[in-house]
Amino acid sequence: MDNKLTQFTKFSGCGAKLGPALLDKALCGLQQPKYENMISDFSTSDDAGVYRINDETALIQTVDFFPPIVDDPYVFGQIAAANSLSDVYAMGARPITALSLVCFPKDKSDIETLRAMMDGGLNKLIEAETALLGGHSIEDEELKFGFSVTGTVHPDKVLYNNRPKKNEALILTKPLGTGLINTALRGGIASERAIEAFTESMRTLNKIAAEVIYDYNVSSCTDVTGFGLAGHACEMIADSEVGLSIDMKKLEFLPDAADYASMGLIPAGTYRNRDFRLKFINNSESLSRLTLDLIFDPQTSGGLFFSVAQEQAEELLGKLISRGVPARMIGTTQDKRGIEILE
Amino acid sequence: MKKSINGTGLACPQPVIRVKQAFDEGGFSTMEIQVDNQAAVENVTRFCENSGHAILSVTREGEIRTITIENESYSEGDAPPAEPAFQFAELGKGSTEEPLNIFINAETIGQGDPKLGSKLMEAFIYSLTEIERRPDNILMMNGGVKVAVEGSPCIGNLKELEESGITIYVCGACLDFYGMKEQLAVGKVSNMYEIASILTGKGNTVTVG
Repeated sequence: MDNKLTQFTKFSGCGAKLGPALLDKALCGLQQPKYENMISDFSTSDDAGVYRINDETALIQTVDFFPPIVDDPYVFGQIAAANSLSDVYAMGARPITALSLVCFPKDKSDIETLRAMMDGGLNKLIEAETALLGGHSIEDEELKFGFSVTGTVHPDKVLYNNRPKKNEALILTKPLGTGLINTALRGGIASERAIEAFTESMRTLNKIAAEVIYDYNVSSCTDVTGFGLAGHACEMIADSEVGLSIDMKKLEFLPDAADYASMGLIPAGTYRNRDFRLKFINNSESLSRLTLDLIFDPQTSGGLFFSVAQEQAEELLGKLISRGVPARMIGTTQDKRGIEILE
Repeated sequence: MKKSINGTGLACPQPVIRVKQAFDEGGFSTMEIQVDNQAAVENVTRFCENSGHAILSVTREGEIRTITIENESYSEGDAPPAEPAFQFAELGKGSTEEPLNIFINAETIGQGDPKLGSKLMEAFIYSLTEIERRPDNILMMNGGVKVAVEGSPCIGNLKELEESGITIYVCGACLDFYGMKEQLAVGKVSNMYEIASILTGKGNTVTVG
């Protein structure tokens, strides 16, 4: 049986996400009763839902699943788990339990593939000290895999994605470019080093990054996924009086990702992200197309992106790096609303 | 030698990969590739721009976009001389003239009474459906985008023009600015790069507004 998982799928990874414009339209105006203990629901665009159990504990719930982004089923399972767990880490919480979701083409694939995928997922759940309680599987034309993950956090320590403050530094904990490399991979021309680097990056948990930032005054935090760095940055400041300034020279990209952008190996999601969010970027007219292609590249299992008080930023960055997290300080908050990209 | 590639129905990034492979193999003076989504057009544009291949035209009929690309490294001696590199007739324009662009940059025509200006715009768009030399591209920017949104008296005639093979480019940033993206009734959402490429490319442009 052919194990080239990515060849079966039309979209892959977070590029399969519905575009932000479509989602906004579908959910616009839908409401549910205001439950007393519900802190955050689908109406905000945060990484996960938040529900208060008692004064000490809030429940964090999230679900994420997508088509294969790499060919090896074990590695795909690892990435799917890392990606699903990431939303819990982005809320400042600790994951505790998970349920698996499988859509499986039983005529096109085999049981070893399914087993390897589950095995890879379990490997990452164990690393995250998260218990797999069960799951659900259905037959489908295209393979899809992921997890619903539940975590807990003190209600006062929840990290929302849209509360940046003045005089803060912006830190990103993984390099960018997974969408571009995935597109090159699907086109059959990705380099060995690019595939290796993006695989390693995607299957790395945001666990250590989340542990480190817990002790600092982080005001806003999200994980960079389908909307790209710029898309998630827009969500951070959409309702804020504070803006963001991001320095392209400070961003780290996975090997060969920028070359793939120049070659036109750009996932369709990049254009959807750009068209929807471009108006938030104050200086978009003066930016090169390469810059826009890079900052709107949809990420799968991307890093944590957060704002932290300037006076703590250097120390926090040092601690992240000393624990092996490839973090970078990529910009600052600014008084002017909107987003400024420095080329 | 002209090479044709059918890139419709292919998932990203196959269209741009096919173009790259064709250039790697060579042996043609121009290439025509058909694709069925705007992302593929953008991808092929980036590939060509960064590898030094000139895009001669991008035309659209319904969902099908046809991109014509020049292969500068092809020399005539490599193969028997072929038909002229670029034929508008093949693009359904029925003309071998230079492309004609109409650039509409306001909701009304001319300075003066806005009611009159609006009537003039309506009459102008109608006249385009009647005159012999129809334009190849209509480009709308700033207030001009309002001519193509729901409620405009020009929609019917613009649709007729679009069906006859004319491409209508509507500035997406302008639609966003006026909060009218959802109300776009005719034409395709475009961007400054595309519009600037057409206005500075081959042919003549008439500005109305």
